Parts: sequence; C-alpha cells; structure tokens
Amino acid sequence: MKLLDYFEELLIVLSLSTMIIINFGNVVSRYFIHASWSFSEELMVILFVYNSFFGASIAFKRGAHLGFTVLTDLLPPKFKKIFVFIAGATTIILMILLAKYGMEMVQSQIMFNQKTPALGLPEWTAGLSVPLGSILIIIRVIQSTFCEMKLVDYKIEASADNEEVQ
Amino acid sequence: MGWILFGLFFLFLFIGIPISVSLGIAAIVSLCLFGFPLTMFPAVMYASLGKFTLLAIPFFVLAGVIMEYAGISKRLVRLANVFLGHITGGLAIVTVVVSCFFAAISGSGPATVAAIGTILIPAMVDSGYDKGFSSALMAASGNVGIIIPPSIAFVVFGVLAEVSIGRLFMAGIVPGFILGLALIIVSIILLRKNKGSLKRQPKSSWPDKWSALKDAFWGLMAPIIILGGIYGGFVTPTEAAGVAVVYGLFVGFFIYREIKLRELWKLLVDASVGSAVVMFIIAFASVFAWLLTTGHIASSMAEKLLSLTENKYILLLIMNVIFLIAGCFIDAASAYFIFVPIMLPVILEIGVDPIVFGVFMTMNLAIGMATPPIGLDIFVASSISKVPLKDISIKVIPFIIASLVALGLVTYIPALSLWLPDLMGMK
Repeated sequence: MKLLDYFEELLIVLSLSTMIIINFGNVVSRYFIHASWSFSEELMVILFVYNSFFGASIAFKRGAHLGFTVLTDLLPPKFKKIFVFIAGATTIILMILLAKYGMEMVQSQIMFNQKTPALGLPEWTAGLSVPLGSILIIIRVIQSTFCEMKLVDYKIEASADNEEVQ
Repeated sequence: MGWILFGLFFLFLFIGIPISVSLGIAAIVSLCLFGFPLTMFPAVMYASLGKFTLLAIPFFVLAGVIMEYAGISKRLVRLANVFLGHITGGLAIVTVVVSCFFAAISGSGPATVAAIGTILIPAMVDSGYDKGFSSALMAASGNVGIIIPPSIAFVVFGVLAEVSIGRLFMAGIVPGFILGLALIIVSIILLRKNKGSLKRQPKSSWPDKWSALKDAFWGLMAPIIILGGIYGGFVTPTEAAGVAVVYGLFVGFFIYREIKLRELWKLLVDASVGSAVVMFIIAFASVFAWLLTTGHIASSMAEKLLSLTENKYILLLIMNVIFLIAGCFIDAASAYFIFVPIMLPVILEIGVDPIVFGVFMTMNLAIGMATPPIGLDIFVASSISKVPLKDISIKVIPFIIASLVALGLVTYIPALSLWLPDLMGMK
C-alpha cells in the first residue's frame, strides 16, 4: 500500500509539474523565438487526464469528494453505517463499469491503430488513463469505505461506554 | 425520462453518495433503461476531460495554493489594514476588500475563505467583533471569489456554453464589486449597534503605509500579470493560469522566501486533488448532460419552461429561484452541466446575452456556497473559527439578503455585466 501511495503521488506531481513547464515554455518560446510548440497542447491534455484520474483516487482516500451528507449524518450510527456501505458499493459498481467499457475503448483504439494528430502517439496511451484510473479508484474506495465504517463502529462503542458510565 | 434521470440523481445525492458518482450512476441507469449502448460512455467522459481550456482549473487551484503559502494573503491584509483599519467597522471592510483582491488571484471561493479567514477572523474577534458575525462575513465574502476574474466557475461555463472566457471574465468585474459593496453596507449597518465595543486601530503613519505598499507590491502585481496578459492578447486564459503559477513560485521562492523546496511536493499533490474533485464531477456530469441533450430531455424541458410564460422578467425570476435552490445542494460545475443545456435555449429565445446569463447564474451558485446545508464557504469558515455551522448559518442571513439584492440588479440590468467588456471592445 505504501508503494501504491508513493506511485500515485509521484505520477500526480510529475504530470502537474510537466504541464506547468510545457505551458510556460510554450509562452516564452512564442514571444522570444516566435515559435510555438505544436505538440504542447496535446501532451498537456494527456497528462491532465492522468492527473485528474489519479487525483480523484487520492481524493477518495482523503474523503475529499463533495457530497450531501447532512441527512445521513442525522441518522443513528447503526443506520449511517448502512448508507456508508451503499455509497461505497455504488461508487465501486460505477467504477467497475467504467473500467470495463474503458478497456473496450482502449482495445478498439489499439485495433484501429489510432494515432494522436500532433505527436503521432498511439491513441491508447491516453485512453489507458480511464481503465487504469478506475481500477486505482476501486482500491481506494474499498479502503476508505472500510475505514469510515470502522469509524462509525468506534462511535457506537464510544456512546455505549458513555451510557455505562452514566 | 427526464423525471427518472433527475429523480435518480437526487435520490442518490440525498442518501450521501458523492455528487460525481450520483450523476454518473443516474445517467447510466437511465442509459440502460432507455436502450442506449453503454459502450460510448467512457468516450464521452474522456472527450469532456481532454479539453485544453480546462487545464486552467488545476493551474488556478495551484496558483491559489502557492499564493497563500508564499505569504501574499497576509501582506494584502496588512496593506488594506493600514489604509482602512482606523474606520469604524474597518476590519469588516478590509475583509471584503481583501477577499475581492485575493479572488482576483485564486479563482475559487473556498480557497479565498481559507487564505484570508485564517488571518482576519481571529483579527476581527480580537478587535471586539462577534465571532459568529466575523465567520459569516468571511463566508459571504468568499462568494465574490468566483465572480471576480479569474474564475474557475467561468472557465467551466465558458467551455460548456461556448462563449468567450475572456469576455466572461471582464463581465464579472462590475457585478463582483457590486456584491462586495452590498456586503460592506450590510456590515456597517449591523456594526452600528455595538459600535462602542469595537476597538479601532490608530491611524497609521505615511511611512507605515508606504512600507506596507512596498511589501505587498509583488502580490498586487499578480492580478495585473494574469488579467493584463489575457487582455493584452499575450496569452489565453488557460496559459495565464499557468503563468500565474510560475509567477507565484518566483515570488514565493526568491522574493518573500516563504515557500520551502520540500513543501513543493505537498503543494502539487494538494492542488491536483482539489482540481481532480472538480474534474471528476465534470467527467460524470458530461455523461449526464449528453443524455439530457441526446435524449431530447433538455429541449422538452425548455419548451415546458417557455410554455409557462413568455414574459422575460418572470422567466428570469424562475431561473434565479431554480439556481438558488440548486446552489444549496450541488456545486457550480455540476449545476452548469445540468442546467445550461436546458436553460441556454430559453435564454437565447427571450433575447438575453449568454454572457449575462453566465454572470447571474454564477452569482446564484456563489450565493449557494454561503447558504446551508452544504455551503462550502460556511464549512471552511466554521472549521477556521470553530463557530458551529448552525450559528454561522443564522448570522449569514443578512449577507445573503444583501447578495440577493445585488443578484437582482445584475439579472435585470444587463449593462452592469456588458458595459466593461463592450468598453474594451471585446467580442
């Protein structure tokens, strides 16, 4: 898991910093040597999609995704646990579908030997971000759902202890 | 079909499933029910993410994080304070003014609240301001953040409605200042009651003012570089966002020397996560929006809306009410993807400029960020000041009312949005 954490962060840091360097380099080169880098947009967009998927994965780990939890927070912990489970399960189902159909998209890109317009890279190198990101997210959601359910358990125990003391 | 799609979305949302996943699952279940093939959905998602213009999102998020770490926010506060601190209610004015200014760097509401609130909420409390009032004012001031350019929200709207982002940015300036002014007026009225308990700062001397100005100079330059670059025709809004990152790093490393090299990793990860949350919503919202258009749900809803009344003013009022309610439950990016396909045809039909539509829709969603139950700005303000959400929610009401007045002006007087971009001859 440690290795996965590191790999995830490394990919994110590398992609975002490369995007910034290419963007700045392109602006500078346009004004000082009057030459735009034709490949810059395409490369940045590919990095950006990877960055978004891997960032979304860390966001699941950190519980940073926006949601409306006011209603479920009002529920007693026992019921809340059920909804935490439902949310996790739903997310996993969605990501499994995305991984499956994403993989089909990649396969057809390989089959038709599609190339990106400016760089001539095989199209699947960009498309692979979809299934790869989805699988990573599935791992993170399983991890965070278990953590959150344990947290609810802990709260139930804590409130039971309080009652005993009283 | 529309009812199923929307019904499922709100059902999933209300049982605590993240917005992005709720949008995705609702769209996929509807796709299956109505016999669309599922094979297209990763391609629709990839196409919506892979847009160069949207790169402005991670860039502006990172620029905001960097400017905060670089110590620019505290220097702006000091600058505003030496000029305005001696007035009664001065700190309240400082809060609004600095928020407007910081918003011109960061492009996001919650980022503004986090950067300025950590400094100004404690400062207001020390000077005898009510803690709830201070937090509420800070949360409401964060609103200004997504209306004054550069704004992440405007980037998303511009991409979706296919209007010029540069023109949208310019159109947001005057409405942003009107909103700021409304907040200042309300705070002064509210503070009149307990004038006696407020500590006023002594008037600062000119050398003090000069040194604060000199110190804040590099921070003040940031919006000039961003907006000047865009309107001077040197860079696109997306490129400007990336240049702002480099500028922020330069100031943070070499001039203020407050960013350390080892913090850079954390800054890049945090900014990527912040941007990915928005992008993940955009990815699934685009599938939702695709279904709205392809399934002719959007057009039939637009027709229904137009059949209610042909009166332009009533239609605009209805839209405002819908956006305000939506803004209380969902974030700006998903609101654009859900409502723009439905409302934009109506807007064009009744002859309203899409730019004005973008500005007032964004104002609605901004107000939603400061209203319970899921106003992000309130959450951030509450976590900084440790004032319970419930108390801030009550104290924020007068500010919401003031914002609604500003919203009304901007909705019904298109010149407020269009005057500045037209003056600059922007198309």
